[in-house]
Amino acid sequence: MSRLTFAVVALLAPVVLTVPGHALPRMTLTTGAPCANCHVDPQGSGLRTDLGWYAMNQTGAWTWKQIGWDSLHNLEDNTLLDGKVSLGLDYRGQMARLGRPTRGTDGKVKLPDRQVIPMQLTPEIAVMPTDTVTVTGSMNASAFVKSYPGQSPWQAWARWQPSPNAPYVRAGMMQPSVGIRHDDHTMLLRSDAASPRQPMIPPDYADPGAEVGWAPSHWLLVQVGALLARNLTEAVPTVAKDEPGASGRLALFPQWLEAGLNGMAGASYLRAGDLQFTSGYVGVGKNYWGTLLFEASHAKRSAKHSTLNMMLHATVPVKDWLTVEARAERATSELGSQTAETRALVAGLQFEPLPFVELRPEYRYLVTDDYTLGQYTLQLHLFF
Amino acid sequence: MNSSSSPTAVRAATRREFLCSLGAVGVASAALTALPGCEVAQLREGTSGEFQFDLANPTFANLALVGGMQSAEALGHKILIIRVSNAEYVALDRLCTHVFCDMGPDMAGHWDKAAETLTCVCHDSVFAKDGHVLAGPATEALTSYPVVVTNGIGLVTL
Repeated sequence: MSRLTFAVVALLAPVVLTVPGHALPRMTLTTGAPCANCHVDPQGSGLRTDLGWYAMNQTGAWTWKQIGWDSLHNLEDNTLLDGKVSLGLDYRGQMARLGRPTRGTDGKVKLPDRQVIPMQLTPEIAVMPTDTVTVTGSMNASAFVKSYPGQSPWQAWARWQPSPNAPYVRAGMMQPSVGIRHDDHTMLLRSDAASPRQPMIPPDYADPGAEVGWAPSHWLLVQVGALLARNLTEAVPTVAKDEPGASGRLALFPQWLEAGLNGMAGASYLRAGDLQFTSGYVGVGKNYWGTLLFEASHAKRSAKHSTLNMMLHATVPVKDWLTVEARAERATSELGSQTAETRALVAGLQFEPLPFVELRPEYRYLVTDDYTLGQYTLQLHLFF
Repeated sequence: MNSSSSPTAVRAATRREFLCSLGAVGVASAALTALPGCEVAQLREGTSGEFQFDLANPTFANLALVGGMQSAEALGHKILIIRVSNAEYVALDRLCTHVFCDMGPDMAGHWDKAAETLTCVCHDSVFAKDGHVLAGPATEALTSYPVVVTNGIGLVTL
């Protein structure tokens, strides 16, 4: 092996051999803090708490002040009215080749066209009229152009928690707490290998429901909920409209402080109609070293239709504002005597040039029973 | 205040650094997208032939009633067989031509028996029984395959 080849392999090895995490698991695995420390939603994602906002305000290759935008740099938090109102925004746009290869009139197989897709434009608000009550809502403007069946353009719920260590109750239009709520909607974990563009639990899925959660210690969270399937019916037609459903999740956040290691493990179950969705995950991380996460999900969609999906997912931080990530996924589906398999390899960077600005250049390699597609993609995430 | 601690001096220097870095990122991004050789497209397409199904087979029980649909895979094709009337069956490509949602009976396909239309509930594209598009966002027709049913045995020509 020549020196140049060795250098290239050495540089690319972390990208190829490790697997990526997205914001939520990476953050939890490196800090040891549960999702609810930094997000208003106890399942993570969306509007950030004071701590989450402050942490991201400190993350960037450059500061806003360094590029002459002092007014942004001098912001102290995302709250108004003495902390009783929090505001947030998430915008995601992606440049990618959508669809699958086709055969052109010349007989050659063609890549799908590269497109720029607005995936999310979500203003968020949370109102905390008292120390025990939080009312929050968000609206994804881009979801009005239906991207996935079962997607809800809005979510809104209220939570009551009499004291920080007491159980909480939340109710409203919300996503039940199931597995890990990753921020990459192309992950196969909630999908079906027979049709990867039809996730069973799509991004921004929400239905009317209620949930009780309790974190008796910093390393344990138990959540039990009930829902009324309305949007879920669109995503999984074997679930009848207005059919009641139930969900439960047990999440552990062990820490080995002497070794500087943080862990997360959990299991969840969602049942509505014929759909039974079971998920489990285990991960470990160390600040400045990286994270490794394994997650699997099994769904029984009907008596003769089931899926089994897995993902290995790792991140390696280079700087506070630059993380190398990669993941390997495999999804299988059985429908009677028919089977389908989809595999994906994704490797890329999470680059935060400025606070609240994230760029994700990635290479994605997808192999289905019908086609293979390898492509570069670029995602822009602006948030507040 | 000396010049090195002047906000203006600091801002000027870091802005230049920022712009240079942005340029580097831009060049890197352009270099990445200029690597078409690393982008891959392959298709695994079905072959021609015949696919036979037996209506008495429990696998095809969905076709016992008019309006029933059944998914099948044959010779690399993913097809959807629909019983349109007592004597009429159609076979169509099962993947919507929009973003390839699976229109199987327990996936995204909804057959309207009265209107004789197939709706992909992923994005509400509507197809006629011969596969042509009645409503978008799909723009391309589904491939339709001839079906003949004789004495409870169906034959699809792929």
